[in-house]
Amino acid sequence: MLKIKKLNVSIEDKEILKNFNLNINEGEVHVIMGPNGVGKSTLSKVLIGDKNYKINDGKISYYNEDLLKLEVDERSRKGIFVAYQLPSEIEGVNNIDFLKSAIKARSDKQINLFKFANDIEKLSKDLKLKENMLYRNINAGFSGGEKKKNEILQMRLLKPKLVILDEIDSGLDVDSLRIVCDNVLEYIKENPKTSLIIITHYPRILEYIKPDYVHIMKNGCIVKTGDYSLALEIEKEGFEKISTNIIKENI
Amino acid sequence: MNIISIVNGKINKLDLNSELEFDEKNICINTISNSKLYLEIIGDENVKINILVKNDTTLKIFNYSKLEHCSLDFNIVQNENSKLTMNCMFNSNDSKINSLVNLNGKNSIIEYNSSCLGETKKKLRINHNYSNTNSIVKSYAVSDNENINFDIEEFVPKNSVNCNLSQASKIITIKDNKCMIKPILLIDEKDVNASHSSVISPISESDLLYIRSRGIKLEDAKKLLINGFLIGNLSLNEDEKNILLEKDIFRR
Repeated sequence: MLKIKKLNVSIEDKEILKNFNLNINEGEVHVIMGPNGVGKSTLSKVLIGDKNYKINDGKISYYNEDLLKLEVDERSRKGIFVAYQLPSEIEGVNNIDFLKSAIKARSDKQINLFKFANDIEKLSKDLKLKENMLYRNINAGFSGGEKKKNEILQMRLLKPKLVILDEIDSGLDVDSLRIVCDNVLEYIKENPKTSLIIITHYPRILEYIKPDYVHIMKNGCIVKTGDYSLALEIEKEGFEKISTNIIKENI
Repeated sequence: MNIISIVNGKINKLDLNSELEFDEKNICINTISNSKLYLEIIGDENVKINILVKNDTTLKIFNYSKLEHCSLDFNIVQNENSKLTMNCMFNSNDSKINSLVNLNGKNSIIEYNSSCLGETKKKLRINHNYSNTNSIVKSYAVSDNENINFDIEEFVPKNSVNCNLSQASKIITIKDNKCMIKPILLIDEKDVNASHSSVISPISESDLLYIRSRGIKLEDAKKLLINGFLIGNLSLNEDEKNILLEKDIFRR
């Protein structure tokens, strides 16, 4: 579904992704790990189409379509969803109006308000979100955990095919992490062709969502790929030691 | 709710209960007891409105004005222990909006929230003529291809002690045009709390990206953000918000 080939990306003349390659098939769970500043979040921003990031070279195809030619909103309507690490707080726009607009953007038909209200009610309960949060301004005054849950509510409502969870586990307590992961798993169960990219520093989230592949990033590209055991190795040894070993292996 | 509708300078609809006194000839609104008023002003004729909020009364005005090449003047007087809340949506095409507020009694409070769309020159002057008077002014605007000027002046004379003044002005510019905010605080008394903030900026790119990343097209995303910015600035209930949404303020 997603093929990234020799991608080079910069922001303000600073090269972030360098010769980055990644292939993802339907239904796969990929984890991208690495220390701060190696370009993990840049990947999510490039995939959704943030124009602040300049594509210097390379290709991204999504279901055999050139993703780089699509606008941000087109990418979303074609099934790409980023659950942001730091979602925007937006003054004056309430969650419900925002979600209605997002649903409406996906169909020429009038929105079925009865179904919409039922879906929202169920998802809010699943995520243990207070009902009044839906009528508050988008993410305004939400706690860190509430923001992450709100992202997952949007994910479940918009039914994407490729989900990028950008540090969804940061700032979450144990209970909230479990709720978020249960909801992601429930969504994957309902939509088994959905692929996941989990961007994280810690393997804690992987205790709930088992990955097919774990990739280690360094200096803007993937330097090692393995399975769940690689994440456990990182937990034990740290990124620095793993990176040093990779360099030694290459020598 | 009380309703006054003025179209092209003439009273078009009047539905008032005993909470308000109204002089149709001079367009004077006086409070008798606590009341709410929906005030609609539409057209290209100059309009002057006089408001008196008497002792120990409150008045909450929800105003929608659609103005074409004209001026709208509010002359407001507030007496002791009165509170006036103004929530105004001005949809203006090359118009002037002037408001003069005299806080003429102790403990009088004015909360003046306004949102403007279109070419506007807005002047507001609040005189804190007595001690313990309070003003909260929020002036928001969106400029598409027009110039917007805010001139917001407050005056506290000597011996008007313990007054509180708060001003917040924000203009979002869609295109590259001239907008100006002049926050002026003339204070001749030391025992005063005063603050102001003024921001002129383009629409937030990160907010736009977030909205669009959920599939909402660029124009709809802008509309959602601008609607939220302008309507969210006003303290309105759901019914009042719906009145503004039905007006479709973007179809100008």
